[in-house]
Amino acid sequence: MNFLAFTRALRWGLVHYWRNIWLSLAATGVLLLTLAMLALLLIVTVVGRESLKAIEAKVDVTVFMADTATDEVILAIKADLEGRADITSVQYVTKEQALATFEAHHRANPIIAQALQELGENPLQASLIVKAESPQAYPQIAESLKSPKYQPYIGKVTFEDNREVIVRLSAVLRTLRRIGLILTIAIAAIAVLVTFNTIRLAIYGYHEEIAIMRLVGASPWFIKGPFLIEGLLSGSISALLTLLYFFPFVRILSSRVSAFVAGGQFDLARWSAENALGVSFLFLVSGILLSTVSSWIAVRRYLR
Amino acid sequence: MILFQHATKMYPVRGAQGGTKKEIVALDDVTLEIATGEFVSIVGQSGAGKSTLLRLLFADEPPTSGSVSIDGWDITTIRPWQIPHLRRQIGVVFQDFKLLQAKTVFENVAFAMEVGGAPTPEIRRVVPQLLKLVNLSENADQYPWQLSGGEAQRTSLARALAFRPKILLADEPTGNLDALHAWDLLQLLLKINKLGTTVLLASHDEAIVNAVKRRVVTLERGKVVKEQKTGTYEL
Ligand SMILES: Nc1ncnc2c1ncn2[C@@H]1O[C@H](COP(=O)(O)OP(=O)(O)OP(=O)(O)O)[C@@H](O)[C@H]1O
Ligand SMILES: [Mg+2]
Repeated sequence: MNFLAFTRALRWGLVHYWRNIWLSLAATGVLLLTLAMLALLLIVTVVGRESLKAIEAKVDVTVFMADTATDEVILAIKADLEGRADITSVQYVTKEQALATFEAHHRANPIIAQALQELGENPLQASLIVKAESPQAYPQIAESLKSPKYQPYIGKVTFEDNREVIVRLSAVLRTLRRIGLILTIAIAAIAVLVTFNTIRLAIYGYHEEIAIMRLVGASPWFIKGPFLIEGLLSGSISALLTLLYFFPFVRILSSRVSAFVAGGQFDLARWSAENALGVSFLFLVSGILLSTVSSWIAVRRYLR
Repeated sequence: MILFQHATKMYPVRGAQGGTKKEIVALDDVTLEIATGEFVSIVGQSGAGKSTLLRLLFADEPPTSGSVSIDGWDITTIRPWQIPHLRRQIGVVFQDFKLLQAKTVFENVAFAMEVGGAPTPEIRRVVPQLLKLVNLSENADQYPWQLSGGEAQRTSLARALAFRPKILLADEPTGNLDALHAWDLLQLLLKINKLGTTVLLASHDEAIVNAVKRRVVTLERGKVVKEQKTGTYEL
Protein backbone atom coordinates (compact mmCIF):
# COMPACT_ATOMS: atom_id res chain seq x y z
CA MET A 1 0.00 0.00 0.00
CA ASN A 2 1.52 3.30 -1.01
CA PHE A 3 1.24 6.58 0.86
CA LEU A 4 -1.72 7.89 -1.13
CA ALA A 5 -3.66 4.69 -0.59
CA PHE A 6 -2.78 4.81 3.09
CA THR A 7 -3.98 8.38 3.62
CA ARG A 8 -7.19 7.51 1.79
CA ALA A 9 -7.71 4.44 3.92
CA LEU A 10 -7.05 6.60 6.96
CA ARG A 11 -9.61 9.15 5.82
CA TRP A 12 -12.24 6.50 5.12
CA GLY A 13 -11.42 4.82 8.39
CA LEU A 14 -12.13 8.08 10.19
CA VAL A 15 -15.36 8.51 8.25
CA HIS A 16 -16.42 4.98 9.19
CA TYR A 17 -15.57 5.54 12.82
CA TRP A 18 -17.61 8.70 12.83
CA ARG A 19 -20.61 7.26 10.99
CA ASN A 20 -20.77 4.44 13.49
CA ILE A 21 -20.02 6.71 16.37
CA TRP A 22 -22.08 4.93 19.04
CA LEU A 23 -20.71 1.52 18.22
CA SER A 24 -17.25 2.95 17.85
CA LEU A 25 -17.56 4.53 21.28
CA ALA A 26 -18.69 1.22 22.74
CA ALA A 27 -15.66 -0.52 21.26
CA THR A 28 -13.36 2.24 22.44
CA GLY A 29 -14.94 2.19 25.89
CA VAL A 30 -14.58 -1.51 26.45
CA LEU A 31 -10.99 -1.38 25.18
CA LEU A 32 -10.42 1.45 27.63
CA LEU A 33 -11.80 -0.76 30.38
CA THR A 34 -9.48 -3.58 29.35
CA LEU A 35 -6.47 -1.31 29.52
CA ALA A 36 -7.63 0.03 32.91
CA MET A 37 -7.76 -3.55 34.14
CA LEU A 38 -4.31 -4.11 32.75
CA ALA A 39 -3.08 -0.95 34.48
CA LEU A 40 -4.51 -2.14 37.77
CA LEU A 41 -2.90 -5.53 37.32
CA LEU A 42 0.40 -3.83 36.59
CA ILE A 43 0.21 -1.69 39.73
CA VAL A 44 -0.74 -4.65 41.92
CA THR A 45 2.09 -6.71 40.48
CA VAL A 46 4.71 -4.04 40.94
CA VAL A 47 3.59 -2.97 44.41
CA GLY A 48 3.32 -6.58 45.50
CA ARG A 49 6.74 -7.44 44.16
CA GLU A 50 8.33 -4.45 45.86
CA SER A 51 6.58 -5.14 49.16
CA LEU A 52 7.77 -8.70 49.09
CA LYS A 53 11.26 -7.58 48.26
CA ALA A 54 11.25 -5.10 51.13
CA ILE A 55 10.08 -7.70 53.59
CA GLU A 56 12.56 -10.25 52.37
CA ALA A 57 15.36 -7.74 52.68
CA LYS A 58 14.42 -7.19 56.31
CA VAL A 59 16.04 -10.36 57.45
CA ASP A 60 18.07 -9.34 60.42
CA VAL A 61 19.00 -11.14 63.55
CA THR A 62 20.12 -9.04 66.49
CA VAL A 63 22.61 -10.78 68.74
CA PHE A 64 23.00 -8.98 72.06
CA MET A 65 26.38 -9.53 73.60
CA ALA A 66 26.87 -10.35 77.24
CA ASP A 67 28.88 -7.82 79.26
CA THR A 68 31.62 -10.41 79.52
CA ALA A 69 32.36 -10.08 75.84
CA THR A 70 35.29 -7.86 75.13
CA ASP A 71 35.75 -5.93 71.93
CA GLU A 72 38.20 -8.54 70.60
CA VAL A 73 35.80 -11.37 71.28
CA ILE A 74 32.96 -9.55 69.61
CA LEU A 75 35.09 -8.72 66.57
CA ALA A 76 36.20 -12.34 66.36
CA ILE A 77 32.60 -13.54 66.43
CA LYS A 78 31.75 -10.92 63.85
CA ALA A 79 34.54 -12.15 61.56
CA ASP A 80 33.34 -15.72 62.12
CA LEU A 81 29.80 -14.89 61.13
CA GLU A 82 30.87 -12.88 58.14
CA GLY A 83 32.58 -15.95 56.83
CA ARG A 84 29.30 -17.78 56.47
CA ALA A 85 27.73 -18.05 53.06
CA ASP A 86 24.19 -17.51 54.29
CA ILE A 87 25.06 -14.21 55.94
CA THR A 88 25.40 -11.10 53.84
CA SER A 89 26.59 -8.61 56.44
CA VAL A 90 27.27 -8.19 60.13
CA GLN A 91 27.13 -4.80 61.75
CA TYR A 92 28.74 -4.20 65.15
CA VAL A 93 26.83 -1.77 67.38
CA THR A 94 28.90 -0.85 70.44
CA LYS A 95 27.38 -0.04 73.83
CA GLU A 96 28.07 3.66 73.20
CA GLN A 97 26.46 3.65 69.82
CA ALA A 98 23.44 1.87 71.23
CA LEU A 99 23.13 4.48 73.95
CA ALA A 100 23.53 7.34 71.48
CA THR A 101 20.79 5.94 69.27
CA PHE A 102 18.57 5.35 72.27
CA GLU A 103 19.08 8.89 73.53
CA ALA A 104 18.48 10.35 70.13
CA HIS A 105 15.29 8.39 69.90
CA HIS A 106 13.95 9.52 73.27
CA ARG A 107 15.27 13.05 73.36
CA ALA A 108 11.72 14.31 73.46
CA ASN A 109 10.95 12.36 76.58
CA PRO A 110 12.48 14.06 79.63
CA ILE A 111 11.60 11.23 82.01
CA ILE A 112 13.63 8.65 80.13
CA ALA A 113 16.50 11.09 79.74
CA GLN A 114 16.46 11.75 83.47
CA ALA A 115 16.28 8.06 84.34
CA LEU A 116 19.31 7.42 82.22
CA GLN A 117 21.17 10.24 83.91
CA GLU A 118 20.35 8.86 87.38
CA LEU A 119 21.48 5.39 86.38
CA GLY A 120 24.92 6.79 85.80
CA GLU A 121 26.16 3.96 83.66
CA ASN A 122 25.29 2.66 80.23
CA PRO A 123 22.57 0.03 80.66
CA LEU A 124 22.54 -0.96 77.03
CA GLN A 125 24.28 -3.90 75.49
CA ALA A 126 26.55 -4.14 72.52
CA SER A 127 25.05 -6.08 69.66
CA LEU A 128 25.74 -7.62 66.29
CA ILE A 129 23.13 -7.04 63.64
CA VAL A 130 23.27 -9.95 61.26
CA LYS A 131 21.67 -9.74 57.85
CA ALA A 132 20.93 -13.09 56.31
CA GLU A 133 20.85 -14.01 52.69
CA SER A 134 17.22 -15.11 52.91
CA PRO A 135 14.63 -15.70 55.56
CA GLN A 136 15.17 -19.41 55.05
CA ALA A 137 18.60 -19.04 56.69
CA TYR A 138 17.16 -18.10 60.10
CA PRO A 139 17.06 -21.53 61.69
CA GLN A 140 20.66 -22.43 60.85
CA ILE A 141 21.94 -19.06 62.03
CA ALA A 142 20.04 -19.30 65.30
CA GLU A 143 21.26 -22.86 65.78
CA SER A 144 24.90 -22.07 65.20
CA LEU A 145 24.78 -19.19 67.66
CA LYS A 146 23.84 -21.74 70.33
CA SER A 147 27.15 -23.52 69.97
CA PRO A 148 29.34 -23.57 73.13
CA LYS A 149 31.95 -21.56 71.27
CA TYR A 150 29.73 -18.48 71.36
CA GLN A 151 27.35 -19.23 74.19
CA PRO A 152 29.25 -17.58 77.06
CA TYR A 153 29.42 -14.27 75.28
CA ILE A 154 25.96 -14.07 73.97
CA GLY A 155 22.95 -12.70 75.70
CA LYS A 156 19.68 -12.65 73.91
CA VAL A 157 19.20 -13.41 70.26
CA THR A 158 16.17 -11.77 68.75
CA PHE A 159 14.92 -12.00 65.28
CA GLU A 160 11.82 -11.01 63.59
CA ASP A 161 10.47 -14.17 62.08
CA ASN A 162 8.71 -12.82 58.97
CA ARG A 163 8.82 -16.11 57.10
CA GLU A 164 5.17 -16.65 57.83
CA VAL A 165 4.32 -13.16 56.58
CA ILE A 166 6.30 -13.68 53.41
CA VAL A 167 4.61 -16.96 52.64
CA ARG A 168 1.20 -15.51 53.26
CA LEU A 169 1.88 -12.32 51.37
CA SER A 170 3.17 -14.18 48.34
CA ALA A 171 0.12 -16.40 48.42
CA VAL A 172 -2.18 -13.39 48.57
CA LEU A 173 -0.28 -11.70 45.77
CA ARG A 174 -0.38 -14.79 43.63
CA THR A 175 -4.15 -15.05 44.08
CA LEU A 176 -4.59 -11.36 43.42
CA ARG A 177 -2.52 -11.55 40.26
CA ARG A 178 -4.35 -14.60 39.06
CA ILE A 179 -7.75 -12.97 39.63
CA GLY A 180 -6.47 -9.82 37.92
CA LEU A 181 -5.19 -11.80 34.98
CA ILE A 182 -8.43 -13.73 34.58
CA LEU A 183 -10.46 -10.52 34.78
CA THR A 184 -8.18 -8.80 32.28
CA ILE A 185 -8.45 -11.70 29.87
CA ALA A 186 -12.22 -11.86 30.30
CA ILE A 187 -12.64 -8.15 29.64
CA ALA A 188 -10.17 -8.34 26.76
CA ALA A 189 -12.27 -11.11 25.25
CA ILE A 190 -15.36 -8.91 25.55
CA ALA A 191 -13.42 -6.05 23.98
CA VAL A 192 -12.44 -8.28 21.09
CA LEU A 193 -16.06 -9.35 20.62
CA VAL A 194 -17.38 -5.80 20.72
CA THR A 195 -14.74 -4.50 18.34
CA PHE A 196 -15.23 -7.47 16.05
CA ASN A 197 -18.98 -6.86 15.90
CA THR A 198 -18.55 -3.14 15.38
CA ILE A 199 -16.42 -3.81 12.34
CA ARG A 200 -18.72 -6.58 11.18
CA LEU A 201 -21.71 -4.23 11.28
CA ALA A 202 -19.69 -1.55 9.54
CA ILE A 203 -18.90 -4.03 6.77
CA TYR A 204 -22.60 -4.93 6.47
CA GLY A 205 -23.48 -1.27 6.35
CA TYR A 206 -21.08 -0.78 3.49
CA HIS A 207 -21.87 -3.87 1.49
CA GLU A 208 -23.22 -1.83 -1.39
CA GLU A 209 -20.11 0.34 -1.48
CA ILE A 210 -17.89 -2.68 -1.20
CA ALA A 211 -19.58 -4.47 -4.10
CA ILE A 212 -19.23 -1.41 -6.30
CA MET A 213 -15.64 -0.83 -5.24
CA ARG A 214 -14.87 -4.36 -6.34
CA LEU A 215 -16.59 -3.84 -9.68
CA VAL A 216 -14.60 -0.71 -10.46
CA GLY A 217 -11.33 -2.41 -9.62
CA ALA A 218 -10.49 -1.55 -6.03
CA SER A 219 -7.59 -3.58 -4.68
CA PRO A 220 -8.39 -5.78 -1.66
CA TRP A 221 -6.31 -3.52 0.55
CA PHE A 222 -8.18 -0.47 -0.55
CA ILE A 223 -11.38 -2.19 0.57
CA LYS A 224 -10.04 -3.70 3.78
CA GLY A 225 -7.88 -0.77 4.87
CA PRO A 226 -10.63 1.54 6.14
CA PHE A 227 -12.15 -1.21 8.28
CA LEU A 228 -8.82 -2.18 9.77
CA ILE A 229 -8.15 1.45 10.48
CA GLU A 230 -11.58 1.90 12.01
CA GLY A 231 -10.68 -0.86 14.47
CA LEU A 232 -7.20 0.48 14.96
CA LEU A 233 -8.68 3.88 15.84
CA SER A 234 -10.64 2.38 18.75
CA GLY A 235 -7.46 0.74 20.00
CA SER A 236 -5.24 3.77 19.70
CA ILE A 237 -7.78 6.17 21.14
CA SER A 238 -8.28 3.96 24.18
CA ALA A 239 -4.52 3.53 24.58
CA LEU A 240 -3.93 7.29 24.39
CA LEU A 241 -6.68 7.97 26.92
CA THR A 242 -5.14 5.37 29.21
CA LEU A 243 -1.77 7.07 28.96
CA LEU A 244 -3.43 10.40 29.72
CA TYR A 245 -4.90 9.29 33.01
CA PHE A 246 -2.45 6.59 34.09
CA PHE A 247 0.50 8.75 35.11
CA PRO A 248 -1.47 11.42 37.02
CA PHE A 249 -3.46 8.64 38.65
CA VAL A 250 -0.30 6.85 39.74
CA ARG A 251 1.11 10.08 41.13
CA ILE A 252 -1.99 10.68 43.23
CA LEU A 253 -2.17 7.05 44.31
CA SER A 254 1.49 7.10 45.18
CA SER A 255 1.17 10.18 47.38
CA ARG A 256 -1.65 8.45 49.27
CA VAL A 257 -0.25 4.98 49.72
CA SER A 258 3.53 5.08 49.34
CA ALA A 259 3.98 5.37 53.09
CA PHE A 260 2.28 2.02 53.63
CA VAL A 261 3.82 0.21 50.72
CA ALA A 262 7.01 -1.72 51.22
CA GLY A 263 7.71 0.07 54.48
CA GLY A 264 7.89 3.42 52.71
CA GLN A 265 10.82 2.10 50.70
CA PHE A 266 9.06 2.16 47.36
CA ASP A 267 7.98 5.23 45.42
CA LEU A 268 5.33 4.19 42.91
CA ALA A 269 5.35 7.57 41.17
CA ARG A 270 9.06 7.38 40.64
CA TRP A 271 8.78 3.85 39.38
CA SER A 272 6.17 4.90 36.81
CA ALA A 273 8.30 7.86 35.75
CA GLU A 274 11.35 5.67 35.33
CA ASN A 275 9.38 3.07 33.36
CA ALA A 276 7.22 5.55 31.47
CA LEU A 277 8.47 4.35 28.11
CA GLY A 278 7.88 0.68 28.81
CA VAL A 279 4.48 1.32 30.38
CA SER A 280 3.36 3.51 27.46
CA PHE A 281 4.57 0.86 25.08
CA LEU A 282 2.62 -1.81 26.94
CA PHE A 283 -0.65 0.13 26.76
CA LEU A 284 -0.21 1.17 23.15
CA VAL A 285 0.72 -2.29 21.99
CA SER A 286 -2.07 -3.96 23.97
CA GLY A 287 -4.72 -1.52 22.75
CA ILE A 288 -3.59 -1.59 19.16
CA LEU A 289 -3.05 -5.33 19.10
CA LEU A 290 -6.45 -6.15 20.60
CA SER A 291 -8.33 -3.87 18.23
CA THR A 292 -6.34 -4.78 15.14
CA VAL A 293 -6.71 -8.48 15.74
CA SER A 294 -10.47 -8.08 16.21
CA SER A 295 -10.98 -6.01 13.09
CA TRP A 296 -8.63 -8.30 11.20
CA ILE A 297 -10.77 -11.30 12.05
CA ALA A 298 -13.92 -9.43 11.01
CA VAL A 299 -12.35 -8.35 7.74
CA ARG A 300 -11.03 -11.85 7.09
CA ARG A 301 -14.44 -13.37 7.71
CA TYR A 302 -16.70 -10.89 6.03
CA LEU A 303 -14.59 -9.45 3.24
CA ARG A 304 -13.46 -12.78 1.85
CA MET B 1 -8.10 -9.02 -28.93
CA ILE B 2 -10.94 -10.58 -27.03
CA LEU B 3 -11.40 -14.29 -27.49
CA PHE B 4 -14.23 -16.51 -26.26
CA GLN B 5 -13.52 -20.19 -26.84
CA HIS B 6 -16.40 -22.59 -26.29
CA ALA B 7 -17.41 -20.50 -23.31
CA THR B 8 -20.34 -21.92 -21.41
CA LYS B 9 -21.93 -20.43 -18.32
CA MET B 10 -24.39 -22.24 -16.15
CA TYR B 11 -25.93 -20.61 -13.10
CA PRO B 12 -26.89 -23.02 -10.37
CA VAL B 13 -30.39 -22.36 -9.07
CA ARG B 14 -31.78 -23.95 -5.95
CA GLY B 15 -35.49 -24.52 -5.90
CA ALA B 16 -37.45 -22.49 -3.38
CA GLN B 17 -38.88 -25.18 -1.07
CA GLY B 18 -35.73 -27.23 -0.88
CA GLY B 19 -36.52 -28.37 -4.37
CA THR B 20 -34.06 -30.01 -6.67
CA LYS B 21 -31.04 -28.10 -7.76
CA LYS B 22 -31.07 -27.24 -11.41
CA GLU B 23 -28.93 -25.16 -13.68
CA ILE B 24 -29.74 -22.31 -16.01
CA VAL B 25 -27.66 -22.26 -19.15
CA ALA B 26 -26.94 -18.56 -19.73
CA LEU B 27 -24.20 -19.03 -22.32
CA ASP B 28 -23.90 -22.13 -24.43
CA ASP B 29 -20.61 -22.90 -26.17
CA VAL B 30 -19.88 -19.36 -27.34
CA THR B 31 -16.87 -18.89 -29.60
CA LEU B 32 -16.26 -15.30 -30.53
CA GLU B 33 -13.32 -13.19 -31.59
CA ILE B 34 -13.32 -9.43 -31.21
CA ALA B 35 -10.43 -7.43 -32.59
CA THR B 36 -8.89 -4.50 -30.74
CA GLY B 37 -10.66 -1.28 -31.65
CA GLU B 38 -13.79 -3.01 -32.89
CA PHE B 39 -17.32 -1.87 -32.10
CA VAL B 40 -19.54 -4.88 -31.57
CA SER B 41 -23.23 -4.94 -30.75
CA ILE B 42 -24.50 -7.94 -28.86
CA VAL B 43 -28.20 -8.34 -29.42
CA GLY B 44 -30.79 -10.77 -28.29
CA GLN B 45 -33.99 -11.09 -26.35
CA SER B 46 -34.16 -10.56 -22.67
CA GLY B 47 -32.47 -13.46 -20.96
CA ALA B 48 -30.45 -14.39 -24.04
CA GLY B 49 -27.20 -14.07 -22.11
CA LYS B 50 -25.91 -10.61 -23.13
CA SER B 51 -25.11 -9.44 -19.62
CA THR B 52 -23.55 -12.78 -18.82
CA LEU B 53 -21.26 -12.52 -21.83
CA LEU B 54 -20.03 -9.15 -20.58
CA ARG B 55 -19.69 -10.40 -17.03
CA LEU B 56 -17.28 -13.11 -18.05
CA LEU B 57 -15.07 -10.41 -19.51
CA PHE B 58 -14.51 -8.47 -16.33
CA ALA B 59 -14.29 -11.62 -14.22
CA ASP B 60 -17.54 -11.02 -12.38
CA GLU B 61 -18.34 -14.65 -13.07
CA PRO B 62 -16.06 -17.44 -14.24
CA PRO B 63 -17.17 -19.51 -17.24
CA THR B 64 -18.37 -22.98 -16.32
CA SER B 65 -16.30 -24.37 -19.15
CA GLY B 66 -14.36 -23.02 -22.08
CA SER B 67 -12.14 -19.98 -21.86
CA VAL B 68 -12.09 -16.22 -22.18
CA SER B 69 -8.98 -14.23 -22.89
CA ILE B 70 -8.06 -10.60 -23.46
CA ASP B 71 -4.87 -9.88 -25.40
CA GLY B 72 -3.71 -13.37 -24.58
CA TRP B 73 -4.51 -12.97 -20.89
CA ASP B 74 -6.59 -15.95 -19.85
CA ILE B 75 -9.37 -14.56 -17.66
CA THR B 76 -10.62 -18.06 -16.90
CA THR B 77 -7.72 -18.78 -14.59
CA ILE B 78 -7.29 -15.27 -13.23
CA ARG B 79 -6.09 -15.06 -9.62
CA PRO B 80 -8.24 -13.03 -7.24
CA TRP B 81 -5.49 -10.47 -6.70
CA GLN B 82 -5.24 -9.87 -10.44
CA ILE B 83 -8.91 -9.01 -10.83
CA PRO B 84 -8.52 -5.33 -9.80
CA HIS B 85 -5.83 -4.91 -12.47
CA LEU B 86 -8.16 -6.37 -15.06
CA ARG B 87 -11.09 -4.20 -14.02
CA ARG B 88 -9.12 -1.01 -14.20
CA GLN B 89 -8.58 -1.69 -17.88
CA ILE B 90 -12.23 -2.37 -18.59
CA GLY B 91 -14.91 0.29 -18.21
CA VAL B 92 -18.39 -1.05 -17.54
CA VAL B 93 -21.69 0.76 -17.93
CA PHE B 94 -23.97 -1.39 -15.82
CA GLN B 95 -27.49 -2.18 -16.83
CA ASP B 96 -28.60 -1.26 -13.31
CA PHE B 97 -26.08 1.63 -13.04
CA LYS B 98 -24.55 0.50 -9.72
CA LEU B 99 -24.16 4.00 -8.38
CA LEU B 100 -23.52 4.78 -4.73
CA GLN B 101 -26.72 6.27 -3.36
CA ALA B 102 -24.92 8.25 -0.67
CA LYS B 103 -22.63 10.01 -3.13
CA THR B 104 -23.32 12.72 -5.66
CA VAL B 105 -22.71 12.30 -9.38
CA PHE B 106 -19.34 13.99 -9.03
CA GLU B 107 -18.39 11.86 -6.03
CA ASN B 108 -19.46 8.66 -7.74
CA VAL B 109 -17.04 9.28 -10.58
CA ALA B 110 -14.34 10.62 -8.26
CA PHE B 111 -14.76 7.57 -6.05
CA ALA B 112 -13.92 5.20 -8.88
CA MET B 113 -10.79 7.19 -9.64
CA GLU B 114 -9.85 7.22 -5.98
CA VAL B 115 -10.32 3.48 -5.83
CA GLY B 116 -7.98 3.16 -8.78
CA GLY B 117 -5.33 5.19 -6.98
CA ALA B 118 -5.48 8.38 -9.03
CA PRO B 119 -3.92 11.38 -7.29
CA THR B 120 -6.36 13.97 -5.95
CA PRO B 121 -5.40 16.85 -8.28
CA GLU B 122 -5.94 14.60 -11.25
CA ILE B 123 -9.35 13.58 -9.93
CA ARG B 124 -10.32 17.25 -9.56
CA ARG B 125 -9.22 17.91 -13.09
CA VAL B 126 -10.59 14.86 -14.87
CA VAL B 127 -14.02 14.40 -13.28
CA PRO B 128 -15.47 17.69 -14.64
CA GLN B 129 -14.15 16.76 -18.07
CA LEU B 130 -15.84 13.39 -17.90
CA LEU B 131 -19.11 14.92 -16.73
CA LYS B 132 -18.96 17.41 -19.55
CA LEU B 133 -18.37 14.60 -21.99
CA VAL B 134 -21.56 12.84 -20.94
CA ASN B 135 -23.43 16.12 -20.62
CA LEU B 136 -23.88 16.02 -16.87
CA SER B 137 -22.01 19.14 -15.79
CA GLU B 138 -25.26 20.60 -14.51
CA ASN B 139 -26.02 17.54 -12.42
CA ALA B 140 -22.69 17.13 -10.67
CA ASP B 141 -24.11 17.72 -7.19
CA GLN B 142 -27.23 15.60 -7.48
CA TYR B 143 -27.59 12.27 -5.78
CA PRO B 144 -28.49 9.18 -7.83
CA TRP B 145 -32.07 9.12 -6.55
CA GLN B 146 -32.49 12.65 -7.84
CA LEU B 147 -31.47 11.64 -11.35
CA SER B 148 -33.54 10.50 -14.28
CA GLY B 149 -32.80 7.02 -15.58
CA GLY B 150 -30.82 8.41 -18.49
CA GLU B 151 -28.78 10.68 -16.25
CA ALA B 152 -27.95 7.79 -13.98
CA GLN B 153 -26.90 5.78 -17.01
CA ARG B 154 -24.64 8.55 -18.20
CA THR B 155 -23.13 8.84 -14.73
CA SER B 156 -22.32 5.16 -14.97
CA LEU B 157 -20.72 5.84 -18.36
CA ALA B 158 -18.65 8.74 -17.03
CA ARG B 159 -17.39 6.47 -14.29
CA ALA B 160 -16.63 3.69 -16.77
CA LEU B 161 -14.45 6.11 -18.71
CA ALA B 162 -12.55 7.33 -15.65
CA PHE B 163 -9.62 4.98 -16.19
CA ARG B 164 -9.38 5.54 -19.97
CA PRO B 165 -10.25 1.89 -20.44
CA LYS B 166 -8.95 -0.18 -23.34
CA ILE B 167 -12.31 -1.91 -23.45
CA LEU B 168 -15.73 -0.43 -22.76
CA LEU B 169 -18.62 -2.73 -21.94
CA ALA B 170 -21.97 -0.99 -22.23
CA ASP B 171 -24.91 -3.04 -20.99
CA GLU B 172 -28.16 -1.53 -22.28
CA PRO B 173 -26.81 2.00 -21.97
CA THR B 174 -29.79 3.39 -23.82
CA GLY B 175 -32.38 1.37 -21.99
CA ASN B 176 -33.74 4.40 -20.18
CA LEU B 177 -33.32 7.00 -22.88
CA ASP B 178 -35.70 8.48 -25.40
CA ALA B 179 -34.73 8.21 -29.04
CA LEU B 180 -32.99 11.58 -29.14
CA HIS B 181 -30.86 11.02 -26.06
CA ALA B 182 -30.16 7.46 -27.08
CA TRP B 183 -28.85 8.78 -30.36
CA ASP B 184 -26.57 11.24 -28.52
CA LEU B 185 -25.22 8.51 -26.34
CA LEU B 186 -24.59 6.30 -29.30
CA GLN B 187 -22.61 9.07 -30.98
CA LEU B 188 -20.60 9.32 -27.81
CA LEU B 189 -19.86 5.58 -27.80
CA LEU B 190 -18.81 5.77 -31.44
CA LYS B 191 -16.53 8.68 -30.62
CA ILE B 192 -14.95 6.77 -27.75
CA ASN B 193 -14.49 3.84 -30.11
CA LYS B 194 -12.88 6.11 -32.67
CA LEU B 195 -10.34 7.14 -30.04
CA GLY B 196 -9.21 3.53 -29.88
CA THR B 197 -11.36 1.88 -27.26
CA THR B 198 -12.90 -1.47 -28.06
CA VAL B 199 -16.63 -1.18 -27.41
CA LEU B 200 -19.06 -3.98 -26.67
CA LEU B 201 -22.65 -2.80 -26.69
CA ALA B 202 -25.32 -5.09 -25.38
CA SER B 203 -28.74 -3.95 -26.44
CA HIS B 204 -32.15 -4.98 -27.59
CA ASP B 205 -32.91 -1.54 -28.95
CA GLU B 206 -33.49 -2.20 -32.63
CA ALA B 207 -33.23 1.42 -33.77
CA ILE B 208 -29.93 1.89 -32.01
CA VAL B 209 -28.32 -1.24 -33.33
CA ASN B 210 -29.43 -0.53 -36.84
CA ALA B 211 -28.00 2.97 -36.61
CA VAL B 212 -24.55 1.74 -35.63
CA LYS B 213 -23.92 -0.15 -38.81
CA ARG B 214 -21.16 -2.20 -37.27
CA ARG B 215 -20.71 -5.81 -36.49
CA VAL B 216 -23.68 -7.47 -34.80
CA VAL B 217 -23.62 -10.70 -32.83
CA THR B 218 -26.99 -12.20 -32.10
CA LEU B 219 -27.50 -14.40 -29.04
CA GLU B 220 -30.41 -16.70 -28.56
CA ARG B 221 -30.79 -18.71 -25.40
CA GLY B 222 -27.08 -18.47 -24.80
CA LYS B 223 -25.98 -19.45 -28.29
CA VAL B 224 -24.49 -17.26 -31.00
CA VAL B 225 -27.05 -17.71 -33.75
CA LYS B 226 -25.95 -15.04 -36.19
CA GLU B 227 -23.00 -12.81 -36.97
CA GLN B 228 -23.13 -9.90 -39.37
CA LYS B 229 -20.25 -7.70 -40.41
CA THR B 230 -22.32 -4.53 -40.71
CA GLY B 231 -25.49 -5.84 -39.45
CA THR B 232 -28.93 -4.90 -38.51
CA TYR B 233 -31.04 -6.10 -35.70
CA GLU B 234 -33.10 -9.04 -36.67
CA LEU B 235 -34.62 -11.75 -34.65
N1 LIG C 1 -26.85 -14.62 -10.97
C1 LIG C 1 -27.66 -15.43 -11.66
N2 LIG C 1 -28.11 -16.54 -11.09
C2 LIG C 1 -28.95 -17.37 -11.78
N3 LIG C 1 -29.35 -17.14 -13.00
C3 LIG C 1 -28.95 -16.04 -13.63
C4 LIG C 1 -28.08 -15.11 -12.98
N4 LIG C 1 -27.84 -14.10 -13.83
C5 LIG C 1 -28.51 -14.39 -14.94
N5 LIG C 1 -29.17 -15.54 -14.84
C6 LIG C 1 -29.99 -16.17 -15.89
O1 LIG C 1 -29.16 -16.34 -17.02
C7 LIG C 1 -29.85 -16.02 -18.19
C8 LIG C 1 -29.13 -14.93 -18.99
O2 LIG C 1 -29.16 -13.73 -18.23
P1 LIG C 1 -28.55 -12.37 -18.73
O3 LIG C 1 -28.63 -11.40 -17.63
O4 LIG C 1 -27.21 -12.64 -19.29
O5 LIG C 1 -29.55 -11.99 -19.88
P2 LIG C 1 -29.59 -10.67 -20.79
O6 LIG C 1 -29.43 -11.10 -22.18
O7 LIG C 1 -28.63 -9.66 -20.27
O8 LIG C 1 -31.09 -10.17 -20.55
P3 LIG C 1 -31.61 -8.65 -20.45
O9 LIG C 1 -31.74 -8.18 -21.86
O10 LIG C 1 -32.97 -8.81 -19.83
O11 LIG C 1 -30.68 -7.89 -19.65
C9 LIG C 1 -31.24 -15.63 -17.77
O12 LIG C 1 -32.09 -16.74 -17.96
C10 LIG C 1 -31.13 -15.31 -16.30
O13 LIG C 1 -32.31 -15.65 -15.63
MG1 LIG D 1 -28.78 -7.90 -19.33
